[in-house]
Amino acid sequence: MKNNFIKLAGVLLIIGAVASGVLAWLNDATKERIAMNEAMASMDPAILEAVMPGSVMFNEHEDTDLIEKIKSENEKFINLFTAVDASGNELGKVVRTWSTVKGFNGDMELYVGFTPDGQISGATVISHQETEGLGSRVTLPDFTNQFIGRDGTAVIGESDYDAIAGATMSSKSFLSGINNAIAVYAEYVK
Amino acid sequence: MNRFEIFKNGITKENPILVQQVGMCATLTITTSLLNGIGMGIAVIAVLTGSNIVISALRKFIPDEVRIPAFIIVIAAFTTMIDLLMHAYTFELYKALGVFIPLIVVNCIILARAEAFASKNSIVDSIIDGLGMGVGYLVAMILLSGIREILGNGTILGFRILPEAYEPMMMAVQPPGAFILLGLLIGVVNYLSRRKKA
Repeated sequence: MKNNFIKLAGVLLIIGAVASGVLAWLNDATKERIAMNEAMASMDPAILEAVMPGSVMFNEHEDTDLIEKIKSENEKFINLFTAVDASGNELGKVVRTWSTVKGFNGDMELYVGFTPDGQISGATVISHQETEGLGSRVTLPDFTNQFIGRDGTAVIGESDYDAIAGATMSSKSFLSGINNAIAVYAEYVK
Repeated sequence: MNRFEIFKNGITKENPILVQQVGMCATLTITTSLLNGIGMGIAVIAVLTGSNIVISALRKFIPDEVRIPAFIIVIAAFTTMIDLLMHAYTFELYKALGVFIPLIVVNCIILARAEAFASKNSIVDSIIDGLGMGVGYLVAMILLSGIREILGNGTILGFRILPEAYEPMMMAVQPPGAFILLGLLIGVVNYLSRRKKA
């Protein structure tokens, strides 16, 4: 009886161990692709299209040392991405940053895209605390589209863009975010 | 029983859905579109054939007293493998099938074939049995999900085949429609198979 018990437990143990081994290996082999799929699904298509038309995903830039370096020297910078299309081709770089000038209620967070030839491909606000319906208009394409095609290596002056009437502080905050992205792009990426 | 008969058995005489009527939960729920039906059918073929092979190979090694937990571990391992592979390579389908992929573990078809066939027969016969039962499952899923997609959406695999003027029969893609259409489908199959005998 006792021997039998050990045999039964032993058989189950062996089967369980082999099964876990196979699954651990497969889990490891598929981990990256699954993480990529999930990351793609979590990206809002509207944001992708607004920042870098044609992109399906922003991958974190491969050079993590560079990212750490920028972070240590530019406190508003959040992260640097490579925008890719559905077949994995690189479309350009994307900088995620806080604005450096406060808006009406605080900083806002932006994605700013740059094409390989150094133009701004698009920009959008991903989080802000501006007044709904007034300052929040900085998130709309009517305002953000004016930055598409601008030179991504030269800071944009306050007289070089159209602020939203009645939401000057929010507009300035948005502009400071764009300019911080331009500063990062011009110094470290270009 | 020769090998061709073993294969045919799963599709006709002992079709898991249309005759044995096992594993109904996933069948009724996910057959809202043809693509889901095909995806689920293929996942079941893979798990069923894989677990049949391993269980048949281990049939002399597994003591009778612990056979059910041993089978379940093998089936769960294959299901988890399919789950990981679909998550990695067929993401859209994975999202559409959702919880029903991991639930293949408790699908009675798989355990029933392990217990009734693979644990008593050779590896080759067990492969054929797994494929036959799996294809039988797939065929039934294609029929049911195809009918539901046409009636409930006017499309096949997303392509419109009924004119725009067709008012989709919403009930066909809702749970009551699943029961009614499956019942009608089984009725038609019974009628045809009886007429063939007579």
